[in-house]
This record gives sequence, structure tokens and C-alpha cells, in this order.
Amino acid sequence: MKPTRQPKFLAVLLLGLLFSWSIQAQEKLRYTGPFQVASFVGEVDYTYQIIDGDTLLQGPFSMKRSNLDALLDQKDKTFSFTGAFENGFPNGPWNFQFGEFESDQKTEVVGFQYRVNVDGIQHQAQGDIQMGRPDGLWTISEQHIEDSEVKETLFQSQITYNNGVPQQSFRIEGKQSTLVGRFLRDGLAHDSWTLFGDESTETWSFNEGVLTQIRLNDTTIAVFQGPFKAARTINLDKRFSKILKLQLKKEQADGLRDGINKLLAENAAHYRKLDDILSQLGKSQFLPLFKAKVPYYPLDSLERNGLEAIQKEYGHSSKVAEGLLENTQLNLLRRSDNEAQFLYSAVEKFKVSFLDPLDKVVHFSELGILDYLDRDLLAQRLFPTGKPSTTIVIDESERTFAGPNANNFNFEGEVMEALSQMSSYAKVSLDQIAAILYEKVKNEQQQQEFVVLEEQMIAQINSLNQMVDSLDTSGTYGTAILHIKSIAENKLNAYSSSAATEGKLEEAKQLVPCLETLKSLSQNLAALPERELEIQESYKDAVWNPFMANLMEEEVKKRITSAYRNVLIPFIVDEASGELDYGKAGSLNRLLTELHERMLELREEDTHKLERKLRKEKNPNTILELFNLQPLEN
Amino acid sequence: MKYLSKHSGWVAALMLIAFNVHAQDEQVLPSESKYKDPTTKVWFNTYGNIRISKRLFWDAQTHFRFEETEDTPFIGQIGQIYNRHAIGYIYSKKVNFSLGGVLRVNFNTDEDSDDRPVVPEFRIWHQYQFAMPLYNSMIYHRLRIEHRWTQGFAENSEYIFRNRWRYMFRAKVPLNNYKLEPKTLYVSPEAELIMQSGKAVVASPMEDLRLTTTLGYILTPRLTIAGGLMYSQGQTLENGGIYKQSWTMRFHVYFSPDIRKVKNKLPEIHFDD
Repeated sequence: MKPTRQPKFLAVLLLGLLFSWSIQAQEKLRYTGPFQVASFVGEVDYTYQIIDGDTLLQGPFSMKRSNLDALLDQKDKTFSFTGAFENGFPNGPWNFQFGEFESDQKTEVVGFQYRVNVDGIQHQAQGDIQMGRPDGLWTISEQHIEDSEVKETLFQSQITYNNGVPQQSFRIEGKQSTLVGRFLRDGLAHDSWTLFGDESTETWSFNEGVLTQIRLNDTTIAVFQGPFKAARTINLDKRFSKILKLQLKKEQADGLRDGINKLLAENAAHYRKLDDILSQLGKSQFLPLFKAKVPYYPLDSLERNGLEAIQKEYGHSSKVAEGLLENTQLNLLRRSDNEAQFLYSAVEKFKVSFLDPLDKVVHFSELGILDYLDRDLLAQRLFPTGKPSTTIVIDESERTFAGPNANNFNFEGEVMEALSQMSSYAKVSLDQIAAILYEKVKNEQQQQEFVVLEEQMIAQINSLNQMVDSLDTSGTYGTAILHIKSIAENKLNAYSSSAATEGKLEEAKQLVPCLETLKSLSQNLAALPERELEIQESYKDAVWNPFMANLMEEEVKKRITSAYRNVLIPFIVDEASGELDYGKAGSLNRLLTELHERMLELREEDTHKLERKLRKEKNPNTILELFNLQPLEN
Repeated sequence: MKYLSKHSGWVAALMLIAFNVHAQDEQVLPSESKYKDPTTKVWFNTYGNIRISKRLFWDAQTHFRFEETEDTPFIGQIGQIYNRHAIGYIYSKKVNFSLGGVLRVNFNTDEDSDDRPVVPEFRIWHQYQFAMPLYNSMIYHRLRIEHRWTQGFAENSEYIFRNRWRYMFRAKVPLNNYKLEPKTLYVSPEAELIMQSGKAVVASPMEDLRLTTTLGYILTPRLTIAGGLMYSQGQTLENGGIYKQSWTMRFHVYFSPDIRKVKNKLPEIHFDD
């Protein structure tokens, strides 16, 4: 019995195994191969599940890249991320490495491995992630590597989190300074945050998230001193540092630029880099949220409407001002035109006194910090020397500029209202100035156009005269050319004696091509003898004469050449010697060129039929049609 | 017999020829050469050279030759109508050869003769012509060999066979141009020596020496006209001591049409390709 029972048992076992495998196989898939995350391209290895059509990473993940050839050749950018996912969330221990290395190309063999020494920068980040949020101690470092050994630590941050919220004390080391501080349980900055540097010490004193004062070496700067009507908790990020900067005087703010602010920003940049990677792979909120409290001055609905109007009007005004200030013709014109210079200076004033503050307001609004600025402080920061007046004083001129209905505008009120008024005033004033200046430029342009066109005309008539002088004008062509020259001169005389009215520019614009055509026509006529010779030569064929035993040139297709010589050319010359307007001169000119080209073509074509039709044909237009050319319309 | 007696003069002449032929040693040469009075003649000659392929042409010549009579000194009466034809081969621009036949119609110009008024004469001829440019002129050498069957005007006269050996030297010198091309007037001196041989030729191998000067005008590459004066002299067949002479006015028309289709004409000048 035994031998028969055992296989049955084995079969059941195998079936069970297969079944469980297939379930596993349906659930989890594995991908290995090339992959791109953010700007990183490398080899990846991960497992995933497809749930409701979505790809969810599940289980271990690793992605890396390094290239020995690149390293030996120049430099290699290498990276390696390892960690794990759970239901699409990064979860568990993670390790990130980014390196940028170059090598001295010296190798040594140790054991059975080739070893290459590298120099460069290595970034490393490691810690635990709990469902997308940092948890526990995270260490981020940037190190300078030389000969494959750590030479110097450029940056190191050590922050402890509880489910994404920074906790307890933290430590951020820069190249020359170290920041130490602590958080409350809810992530609010608290107590003293101190930056110990080689030369200076900077301390931010927080009270439950509110930055009350900053001490820089021996100076103490008061910051948000209560009590406030309202306060809001915001992230301790760029926005916070901007609010802080506006809170302080310029020289105070400048002093703080390289301290805690800079180190915090550097730390944030490291976290952002990791978050970019993680959020592309799955669901994550890796950015740690340092929190602080700031006073809150929300815009009321009136101010909000005013702000919208300012944004629109500022967009328009700044374009107008920029268009004027950068207009090259206006810049030329203002050198010679006092009025233009005056208005140009007014635009410059508007730019500095009105548009630049408005630009700041618009920018603050975009950053979302207007709600956190005290209005009086805002007025102070925007207009450190006081608000502008509706009357613009131009320094180099004794005159002042006032825009339309200047008296209706009042900038004395509350700052947002004043800004709104200034924005409207700048818009109407700039529009008015633009209208005047563009009109001036247009006139100037016309004047310049006249100059250019008239110079052209003079050059044309001179070149026509020169050409005629160099020709023998005794023959029929000569007569026609002299005739054309006199037409051109008459046209120019008529133009120069006509009054400077609206239409004169148009007249000038038409006269230039007309003179050009007349000139070109006379050139074409002057070229006729040469062209006739060319045609005569091309219509020759070498014939062997048996009696002379030599080759002789024989004229071929005589009907064509005769029609050309005896009918068409006299006809065209005759037409050119008669009444000649712009259009007709153009047609004749074109005809002369086309006829010459056509004659040279006909030499090569089979023209038996054409020659038969040309017999006794004396009408030039019929001949032109036979030649496939546009007949001259009378 | 009556016919015979009527033409006794011709019979005597014929007998003389026969006698000459058969009994050479009995020809009596004068102690000094004797020159007959020159006769005058007018020739109207047409020369056609009709191109029929790249290398071949048809040589077609028709001459009308007039001789003086008592009444009309120059133009006289028709002496011969002369049809010469050949197929020519163009070896190069400067060298060509011809082979063909001649039918000459001889008219009896003897006013007193009662013999046949017209007799035919046949020839087979071949010719070798060489041209050479010289400065602005051209010179030509022409070798022409003719195999000739002639007969007298007398009834039933037998054909006699002779060979003619002809060499002509000719130059054409343009007068109003730097080369020979249309609208050019040229002068053409020429000299031709015609020797003959055959059983009938005993003491008169030099049949004719022709010295000619012609003035020509090239109208087009295909048409030339010319006119000139020729002096010639040569031994009579009957007696090598007696020389005939003549002055001939010659008028020529040279034409060379091309009957090939246009597409076959090109390229016209490259014979050596």
C-alpha cells in the first residue's frame, strides 16, 4: 500500500504549493530595469501591485546608477536609493546617497577587485519613514571626499521626528557654524535657537512659536512683540523669512542674511530633494514642518478688491512704461526734443515712485505675505521717503508734470487705499504720456522715412544720369533711353514741387519703385545691343562645307531671330519711346528680360511648328503669344 | 558605200586612228611641236554635294559645255552635257574620297560632219581629295583617276578605253575676310595636269594642262558661286606633236544641302568621335 499512497500525498502537496504561488504571483509583480524618477535615471528593482488600475509600490525598492567609464573619462554622477514601500507609502528605513565624483585614473588591485580612488562630494540621507512621514532621527549630510576618504563635512542636519513633526532638540551644522534649537511637541519653535559660528553668535528667541527677539552678537533686535490682535501658525520657511525681513530695518535684515536663515534654507533644500523623489514614487509628505507663529492682519474685502485692481492696472502700466523707456526711436528723439525729454523723465519718475512700490505689493501678494504685514509697516517699507505726490517734479526741468484729473486723486489715506489710488493715477498718466510720445515718434518716423526715400530718389536719378552719360545715345535705343531719363526727371520734379501734405509720403513711397523701374528699363535697353549679339551667337550652328573643307557658322531658326530682330525689339523700343507710366515701364522691363531668356530657350527647343506659324507674321503681340510670352497690353 | 563615201573624211580619220593604234611606229611626228589656234568655250557647271549620312554624301555634278562656232565666238553651241555622280566618304574634315560614274553626252560640233549628232561616253572615276589650311587660306590636292570609254561620232565606231590620271592643285584665298566664311569673296588659282594612258595613247600622254583663276563668293555655308577663266593645252591623241589650246570661261554654282533629319545632324562637327 505504501508505494501507492505516497505519490498521492506528494501530488496534493505540490498542488497546494502551486496554488499559493499563483495567488502570490497575481498580487505582486516585480520590475527590474531602466527607470526615471525626477531627474534621476538609473537601474531600478522593486515590487508592486496593481489595484484598481493604479500601480502601488509594495515591498523593497532600490534604484542606483554609477558609471565607471564616465568616472574615468571625466566625472560620474552616481546615486543610490534603497528603502521599502507599503501600500504605496514609503515605509521603513530609507537610505539616499548622491555623489559627484572624479578620479585620478590610478587603479590598484586589492584581492580580486580593482580599486579606483575618487574625489568629489557625497550627499547622504538616512532615517526611518512611517507611511510617508519622517519618523525618528533623520540625518542628512554633505561631505567632501578626497582620495576616497571624508575630508570635510560641509553640512549635517540631525532632526528627530514623531510622525513628521519635528521634536525635541535638533542640530544643523554648516561649514563654519552650528545651529542648535528645539521644538515643542506640536512642532512649534521654542526657546532659543542659537547659531554658533566662528566669529558670531546669532540667537532667535521663540516663545511658543513667536519669534520675540533676535540677538546678533551684542545687538538685540525686537521682532514680534505682542500683544497681537490675532496670530497664525505658519511654516518656518521662505515665507517666514520674508515676513521677518520686512519686519526689520534694511540694515538689520542684511545682517541676518547669512545666519540661521541661510542654514534653514539649506536644510529645507535637502529635504525638498528627497521629497521630490519620494512623492514621485508614492504618497509622501516628507517635508518636515518647522512651525512658528506670526501676527495676522487679514485684508478686508475692500482691500482685497483694491488689490485686484492694482494687479490689473500695474500689469498695464508697467508694460506701457517699459515700452516707452525702451523705445529706441523715442530714446533718439528725446535727445533733440525737449518736450519728449520732459515726458520721458516723467515716465522714469512714475516708474520709480509709483510702479516700483506697486510691483512690490503685487509681489507680496503673490508670496501670500500681505496678510501678515502691519499696514503702517508696509507703508514704511514701500515708501521709506514718504508717498509720492500727484505732481511730478522733474529734476532737470523747471516744469512739473500732472496727470489727467490729478486733483481727484488722494494718496494720503490708508495704505492699501492710497496704493489703489496711485495705481489708477499712474495708469491714466502713463496712458496720456504714451499717446503724446507715440504721436511724436510717429511724426519723427515719417520725417526719417522722407529723408530715406528722398535720398534714394536722388541716388536713383544720379545713377540713371551717370548711366545715360556713359552710353552712346545716338541710335534708336539711345533715343528711348533719353526719353526715359526725361520722364524720370519730370516725375521727380513734380514730386519735389508738390506741397507737403498727407499724401506726400505715399507719393514718395510710390516714386521710389517707379524710378527704380525706369532705371532698370533703361539698363535693359542699354543692354540690348549686347543681348542681340548674344542671341545672334547662340543661334549659330557649325556647318561643314564640303567645297571649302572647313566649318562655317550658319544662322539657324532664322524666322525666330528675324521676328526678334525685326519685329519685337523695334516694337518694344518704340513703346519705350512713347508714353510711359509706372505700370507700362514695369511690363516693358519684364518683357525685355523674359524675351531674352525665352529666345535663349527657343534655340534649344523643337520649334518647327512655331517657325511655320511665324511665316509672314508681323504683329508683335501675336508673335509674343506664339513665343509663350505675355503680350503687352495697350 | 554611198554612206561611206559621204563620210570619207571621218572614215579616213578613223582609219588613221586605227592605223595609229595598230601601227604605232608609223605615226609621223612633226619636227617641231605645232600648236593649233586656241578655241574658246563657255562652261556652266553645277556642283552638288548632298549630305546623306554622317559620313556619306552624294556628289552630283552637271556641266553644260559650249564651244565657239563660226557665227557665235564665245557661247557657241552645246558641246557636251556632262553628268558626274559619286558617293563620297568623309574621312575627316580635311580628307574625303569618292567613287562613281560619269555619263557624258557628246554633241557633234563639226558643222560639216554628217555623222551621228550625239554619242554617249562612259567613265568610272574615283577621287582622293586632301585639304590643308594655310594662313587664312586653304589649299587642296585632288587626285582623280578615271576609266573612260569613248567613241567617235561615226556610225558603228568602236569604244576605245583609256585611263586618265589627274592631279589638281588649288588654293582658295579670301579677299575680304580673315577666313573662308559666308559673305566672303575669294580668289582661287588652280592648276590641273591630266595624263592619259591606254592602247590608243601612243605619243600623247599629256592630255590636258589646265590653268585657271576663279573669283568666288560664298553666299551661305551651303551655297557658293564662282566664275573664272581657264587656259588649257594638251597633245592631240592623233599626233603627239600637235597641241590643242583653248580659253574657257567657267561659271560655277556650288551647293551642299543636307537631307538628313535634324536630330541626325548633330553634332555636326565631330567626325572623329
